[in-house]
Amino acid sequence: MVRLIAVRLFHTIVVTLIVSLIVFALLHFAPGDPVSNVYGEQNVDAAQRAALRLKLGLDDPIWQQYLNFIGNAVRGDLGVSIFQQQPVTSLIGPALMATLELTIASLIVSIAIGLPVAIISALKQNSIYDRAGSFFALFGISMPSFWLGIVLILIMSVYLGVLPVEGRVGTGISIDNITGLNTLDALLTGNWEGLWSALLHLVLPAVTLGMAIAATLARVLRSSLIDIKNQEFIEALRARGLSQATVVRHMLRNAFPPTVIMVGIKIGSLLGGAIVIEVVFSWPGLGRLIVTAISARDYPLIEGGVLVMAVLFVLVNLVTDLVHGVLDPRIRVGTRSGV
Amino acid sequence: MKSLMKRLITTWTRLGSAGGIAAIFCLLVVLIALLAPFLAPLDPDRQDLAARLLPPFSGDHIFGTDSLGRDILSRLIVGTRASLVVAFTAVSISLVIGVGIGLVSGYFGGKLDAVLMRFVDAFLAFPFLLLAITIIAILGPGTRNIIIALIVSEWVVYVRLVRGETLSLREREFIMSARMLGVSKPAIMIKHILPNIYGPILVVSTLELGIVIVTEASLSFLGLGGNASTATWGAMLADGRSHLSTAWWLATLPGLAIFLVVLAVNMLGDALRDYTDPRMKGYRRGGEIPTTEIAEPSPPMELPPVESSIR
Repeated sequence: MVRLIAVRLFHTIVVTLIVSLIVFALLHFAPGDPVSNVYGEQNVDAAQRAALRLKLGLDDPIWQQYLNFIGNAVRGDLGVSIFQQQPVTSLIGPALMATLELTIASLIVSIAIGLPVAIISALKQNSIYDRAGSFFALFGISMPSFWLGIVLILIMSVYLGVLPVEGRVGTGISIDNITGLNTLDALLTGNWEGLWSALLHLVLPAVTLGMAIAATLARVLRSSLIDIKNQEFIEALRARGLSQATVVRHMLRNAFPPTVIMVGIKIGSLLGGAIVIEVVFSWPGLGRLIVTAISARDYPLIEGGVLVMAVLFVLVNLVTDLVHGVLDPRIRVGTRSGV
Repeated sequence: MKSLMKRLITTWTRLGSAGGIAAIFCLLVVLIALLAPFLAPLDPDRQDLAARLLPPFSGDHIFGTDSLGRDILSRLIVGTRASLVVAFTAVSISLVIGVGIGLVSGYFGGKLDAVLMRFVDAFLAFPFLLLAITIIAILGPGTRNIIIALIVSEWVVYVRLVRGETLSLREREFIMSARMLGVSKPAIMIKHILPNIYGPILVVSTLELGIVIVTEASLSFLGLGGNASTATWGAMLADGRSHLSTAWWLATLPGLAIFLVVLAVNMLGDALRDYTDPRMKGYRRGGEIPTTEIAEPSPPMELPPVESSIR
């Protein structure tokens, strides 16, 4: 296990460095002069331009600029947003927490939907339930999540008027900021009105985003459950007269490793999908921050946002691998090749 | 003609009825895209401010009109072409790049492979849409840039796939004997390895086609598609998002179009997967394809005739 952790950690560091190199290179080679990008349409004289060049270190050799970028990033300094005139990190912080809250909520939704669908489909293989389950999975995978979001808004908000359309809490409600996760903060401070409002606002985006993962989860878990169902040790458990629930628990325990890998990979597309969903629901998360930064051509903010999101994804992959190692002793011996 | 019918029937039975229906639907969509200018009943760009936001089935406008009074059905038809052109271009160029690099990386192995794979890992470390958005942030909006962005995010998928398959084929007897007979390396890669991985490549690129169509729509939806007056499904959805409370058809219809096309593409991909290679059951983006270490060398895959319809 120690060896696995060491190897995965090393890979993670290498990949993170290359990711940062790609982000740096991409924005460094963006067309247009960085100084003009900063000042935009404003008229500034040559002296101001030179001062900014010096401040941004644009006259340094390129490798040094990269090292500075990395060094500052590690110290938590991602520069200053051009448009909002605030440190990028102080803009990203709250947005990151909003995205995390949404991601966690949609994971919960996807497990709540995907797990039962997979178990029923696998136990009653080829039955009408199984077919319905597979159909649901295919639909969930093919449905563009932002369209699902819009349809849900139409039904739940526009016609039924039961759920709010956008934002994180209702107007006039404030939640004290402790962790940045609104629901948790409201719970900690005993702010029941705030908690209710935050939960209501969370439902639609979380269901929208969770549906796609629920579909993948149902698919993967179903097929690994079916593989396991026919193995001898399950027969043996049944022969000993264990209850159905206990047998299912044993099956799940064995079906989890491949599922965890798949869900971990899916979280990546979840983070990607969150970008569009956040725009649809005006959820003030990292994805929406990046999209607004792009329309404002706010390069430091784009750079910081993309870097944070990519690093987050790399970390999710690391955690996935380690959880996989915990669940499946076989892979602790060697490391998976080709990954 | 008779043999063609026979082949079609065998393909149908092998694809299963769902796959067959999906294949026919995909063929129809391709036809719509090809004939778009002739099929569109009205000029998709003609604005008529007197006829704004008309609901479906009002006069000439079967699907109603949008916020500028343009005919939605015509825009959907023209949008089919826009969407498919972007998707096919992006997938085929990434395919060529990915297959080339994957073959070389898998066949030669060693340091080159190790370095390439770390880069592939780093590219895969970006959520697909995030990378595409970043590229657009740099290059600016526009159809050409969307294609570039999709290629940059897409090529690694094929590198991974082709490299993995090449690795396992490389050690097999028929490749070894070709090597011993003095067949040149490029010839081994192109004539002996590549034909054996057509199946997985076809399946993965079909499934990827669905992902690319959705991503293109997402980018246009986010307003990164360039010229807002061009009819694309994503841009139409974005227009619909701002008129949700007054005109439901504006957002639902283009979304339905995307959904149906992607559903058909996915069903076709699933059917092709089961047809060409049962051991790939359950493959999805990013998933590892279980490779059997020792297996009989399979003869070059005979491709189903439907292949020509989805190219």
